[in-house]
Amino acid sequence: MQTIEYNIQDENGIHARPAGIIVSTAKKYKSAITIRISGTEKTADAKKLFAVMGMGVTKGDRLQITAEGEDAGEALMKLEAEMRSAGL
Amino acid sequence: MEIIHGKGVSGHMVRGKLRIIRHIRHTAAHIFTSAENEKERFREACAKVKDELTDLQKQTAEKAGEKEAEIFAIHRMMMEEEDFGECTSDLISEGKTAEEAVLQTGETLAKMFLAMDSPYMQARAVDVRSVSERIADVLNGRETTDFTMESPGIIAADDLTPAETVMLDKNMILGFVTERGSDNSHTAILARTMDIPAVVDIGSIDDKFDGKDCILDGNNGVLYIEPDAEIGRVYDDSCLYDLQKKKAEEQYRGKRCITSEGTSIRICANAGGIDDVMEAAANDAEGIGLFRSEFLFMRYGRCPTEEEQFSVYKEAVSHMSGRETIIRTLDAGADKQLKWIPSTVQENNPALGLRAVRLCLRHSALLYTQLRALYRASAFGPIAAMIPMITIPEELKQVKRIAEQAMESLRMENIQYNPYMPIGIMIETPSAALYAEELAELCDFFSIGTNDLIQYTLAADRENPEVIYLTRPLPKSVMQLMEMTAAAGKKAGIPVGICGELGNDESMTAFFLHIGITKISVPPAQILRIRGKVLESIREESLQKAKELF
Repeated sequence: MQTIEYNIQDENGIHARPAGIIVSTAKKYKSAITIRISGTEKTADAKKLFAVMGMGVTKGDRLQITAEGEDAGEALMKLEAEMRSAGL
Repeated sequence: MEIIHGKGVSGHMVRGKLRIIRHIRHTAAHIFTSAENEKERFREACAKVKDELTDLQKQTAEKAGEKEAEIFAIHRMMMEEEDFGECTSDLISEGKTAEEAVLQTGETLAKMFLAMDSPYMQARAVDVRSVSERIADVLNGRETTDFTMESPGIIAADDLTPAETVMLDKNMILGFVTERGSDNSHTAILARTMDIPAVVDIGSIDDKFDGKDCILDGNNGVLYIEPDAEIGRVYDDSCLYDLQKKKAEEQYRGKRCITSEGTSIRICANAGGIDDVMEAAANDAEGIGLFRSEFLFMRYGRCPTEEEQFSVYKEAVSHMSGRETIIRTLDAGADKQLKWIPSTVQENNPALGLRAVRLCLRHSALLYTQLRALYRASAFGPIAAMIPMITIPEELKQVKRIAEQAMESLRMENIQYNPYMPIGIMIETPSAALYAEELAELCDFFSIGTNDLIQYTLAADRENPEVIYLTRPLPKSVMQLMEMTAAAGKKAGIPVGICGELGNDESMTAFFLHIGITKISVPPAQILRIRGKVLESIREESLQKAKELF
């Protein structure tokens, strides 16, 4: 199991477009990927659009993204890169 | 006269007949057969809607840009979600028809969004409703709500989905108001990009107003129904004027300007952020002539990291799909102070002090980081760097040394970049114009920054009304400096452009072409207008030449 941390800087938090990018990226990997907002109980399966959007991630939130599986490392790297280039 | 207030989300003023259109709420007329059969109908409808959405995404990308089109990809993802399918299936198993089940699912998910804190997320309720209604439409075999109009008018709808907005016929629909909606919705964003006047969230509108004459003010968010003569006069003039102007300008979309000598004149856009870049792309800009990188440096209250800068530059160039994107390096100081940069001395005259490239050379790590980010982004598209406020050649030499260091470090780290990324300079001091020949040998392009060039040549603060008389009409001194700059560029074989307020001034267009300017960079919304003016100047010039022949 691997975990990365990510700070949300986008004014609108994880809105529709970035949520779409996260989910479509996560779906490419076999690993189970979970997103949690640090310091809260809010978690979501990164492969589920409504769950990701439903977390209501806002600017300034710190995310812990955890992946478990054979391609966990690669999945996290790619996710981080995609989130970054989406301006999240 | 009835005055209704809402939230103005887009555009100017228009006048026309109001047409009230309400969505037919789908009450399932189909009779339940068997759960299996209903699930099969649901699957078939989903497949059809998936195709429709793919199609819509393509159409929107063409009409309003790739980024706007992504909403339809989101809609597609929503319907492909397990939650969406499972919830619908469960409801069908309970004995509901496919229509009822999918509408109820949409409503359940919409409620989830509405319960969220962020207004932005609340606005997503429209998206999920739109998806389920679209599927229900297909199941019902019913046409989607009809927004076609026989004569131009203003639509008043209960709500508009992004899909409906993008399908609006801009020639017939002068503007729209919606009873619900927010200025954060994709519909509002689309209206702005498509430049359709729109007011949302006006509350309920009485059916008795259908067909009534009205004036819509998209800027201030007001709908005047049966306006009185006074408002009629004020708005009628401006609305007609805007409309005629806009329509006339549309003919220049897709046109390119080539002079009788075969030189092409490019009309580019000035941008202050990614939004402007998208607007530029939507307005047929032939490139970004000036991307002001300052916003990045103001946004965080600290110096943006290389990574942060890189991702923004890369995004900008990717939106321009292959067209050149010129990024101006940090132009801070004077009237744009950055609090996080330690000031060394008290400046009595900041306009003549440590600003723009001077500041960047004083704190060279700033420039080094920015150039590294630019070089990295240059691997992803045609990016160019532009240095502001060069006054003497030595400054440019120093910048180029830092650029060399940036490239060297990327080479060592095996990071991709374009070693031929053009580096150009702004000509905005009289000294730079006088040094133009020497500077032209040291860089890849010139861009004349007219605002500062005027201010520094005439020693007149552009914000001081007492000295504005010096700048209008534009004195010959400034024109001569521009002419020298253009001539030096031509001699060295580097392009010379204009970025600055003057580019926007139609009375200057012929002069710019005459001295050999090949690029004019203006705000995104002005591109078509200026292109029209350039085409007209070229026509007049060739006509003149033809006359001389006979």
